[in-house]
Amino acid sequence: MKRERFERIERQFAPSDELVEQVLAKAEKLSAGEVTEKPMEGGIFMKNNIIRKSRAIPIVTAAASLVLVFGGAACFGKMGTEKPEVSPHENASESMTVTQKQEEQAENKEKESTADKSDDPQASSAAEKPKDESETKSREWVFLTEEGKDAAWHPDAGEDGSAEAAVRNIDAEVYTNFELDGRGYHYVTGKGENYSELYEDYTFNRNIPNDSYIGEELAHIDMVPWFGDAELTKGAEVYSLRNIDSDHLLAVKFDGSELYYLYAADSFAADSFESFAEAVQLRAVTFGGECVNRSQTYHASREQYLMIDDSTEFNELVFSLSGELVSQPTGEMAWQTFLDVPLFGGSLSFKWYADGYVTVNAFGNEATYNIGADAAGQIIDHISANGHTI
Amino acid sequence: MRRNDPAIQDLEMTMSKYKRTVYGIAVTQLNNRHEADDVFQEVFLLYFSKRPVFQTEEQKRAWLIRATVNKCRQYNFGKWNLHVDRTAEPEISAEFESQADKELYAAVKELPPKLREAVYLHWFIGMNVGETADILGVRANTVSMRLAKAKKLLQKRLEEEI
Repeated sequence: MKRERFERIERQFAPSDELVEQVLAKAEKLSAGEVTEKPMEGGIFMKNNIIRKSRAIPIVTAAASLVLVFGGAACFGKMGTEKPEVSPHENASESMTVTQKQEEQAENKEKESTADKSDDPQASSAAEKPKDESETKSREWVFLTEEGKDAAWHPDAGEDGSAEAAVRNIDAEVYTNFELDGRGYHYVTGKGENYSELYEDYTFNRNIPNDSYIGEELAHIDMVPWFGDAELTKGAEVYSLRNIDSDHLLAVKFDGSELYYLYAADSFAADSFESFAEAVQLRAVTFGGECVNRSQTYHASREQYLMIDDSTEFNELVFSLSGELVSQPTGEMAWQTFLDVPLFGGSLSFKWYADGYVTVNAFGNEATYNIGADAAGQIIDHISANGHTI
Repeated sequence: MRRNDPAIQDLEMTMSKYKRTVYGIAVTQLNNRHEADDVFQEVFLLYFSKRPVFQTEEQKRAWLIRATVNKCRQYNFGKWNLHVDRTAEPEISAEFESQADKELYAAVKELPPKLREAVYLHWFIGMNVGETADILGVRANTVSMRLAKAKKLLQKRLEEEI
């Protein structure tokens, strides 16, 4: 193909005369002082990691308040100090999921039928006692366990508008692995939810935040739960991600759901850093603005966090790296950088070694590349010179 | 008034000289005409408001190209556009001399953004690899690598030698 062909195409692009006139008119207004606003400058830089730290406090506080309120109510209920018109059963049901309610109703029906058959008041009373215990357990599970504390709950999730705390079942956490074309994939998610303003709008379900990431459908598969119960198999559509290597990352949409979840190959290591950056579309999947560099020390108390306010230059240094895949780095790690990735509400980690290596931990896969001592030194120097303690 | 203001005169002259270069980059890097128009305006208004001084005409051209590339990156990788479905926006259309040209341009638009940047600056505008590297803020061998990858992808897509 000749260059003339490209140049011929390039000649087709010209702005309309109206557009040119608009610019001149705006320039005239600017010149005359009629317009005070300036055209947009600079990038979109977000100090999400600072926000993350400060936002964690009210969330933890809110969770603690809930534990105190509901946990306290449970204690008072047991002590018999609750209001007489609210039975412990009704009170406990507020903190149970719809599924749990249905299960409990079915259980109650069974128990009632058993009680009717036996026609024994003591049997009926005995049937109620373990039910109370199960209610207490369910309440603890919702609010007190690690899973419950971390899970999404809705104060107004009930269909009838009643206040209900519902723990959502996340399919991807049950169907964590699958195989496609002989390659294994696993569900990946970050810790973005509840930590950052940038994630809070869309990582409630730990899913891919935006459909615009999704490419073409590759297959429809039956997924088996991680505990291997074949009876609970669930159908799912597997999609590629736009411009991202499907040997590395895929999106999965479960039947009956509109949410996409991110899955990464169990084993993926590009043969060079640039191939890795290409495979995951490093520039596109990161916010492109903010990063935090953490020094590596052997004492947790001396751990130091640095923030680079304007990381445009730093990002360019990272995005322009090249180097071959090696088995392991040598020398001591100088800094560790985290680049936020909204695609899965988490971060990619880069460990920089002064000897000329970078170890990348991305989506559960780790690989080391020899980027050269000069490039590594440039990055390390840039972090040291521009980072400030947060 | 326009003719009496030297700054406006300079802007008009600069636009007449580089409007196709700036608009071509915007059109190729962005997904719809509205964004391309916005970037075109922002770049020249930035030039007008900053009024940078250049030693040579080449420097001015490089400044405008760099500003355009950066503005396009803001649009493509900004938080807003990462989370907004822009498929409903009017696509950019151009009248090509042949169907082959149209297909080639469509294939270029399908390239990943950073490959597209290098392709446009090197093959369409005719900048050499060193100049392209300077504009993109990367090393020359990185540009060469991107061009090689782009060539491979275009050949695969178009099933013809490039």
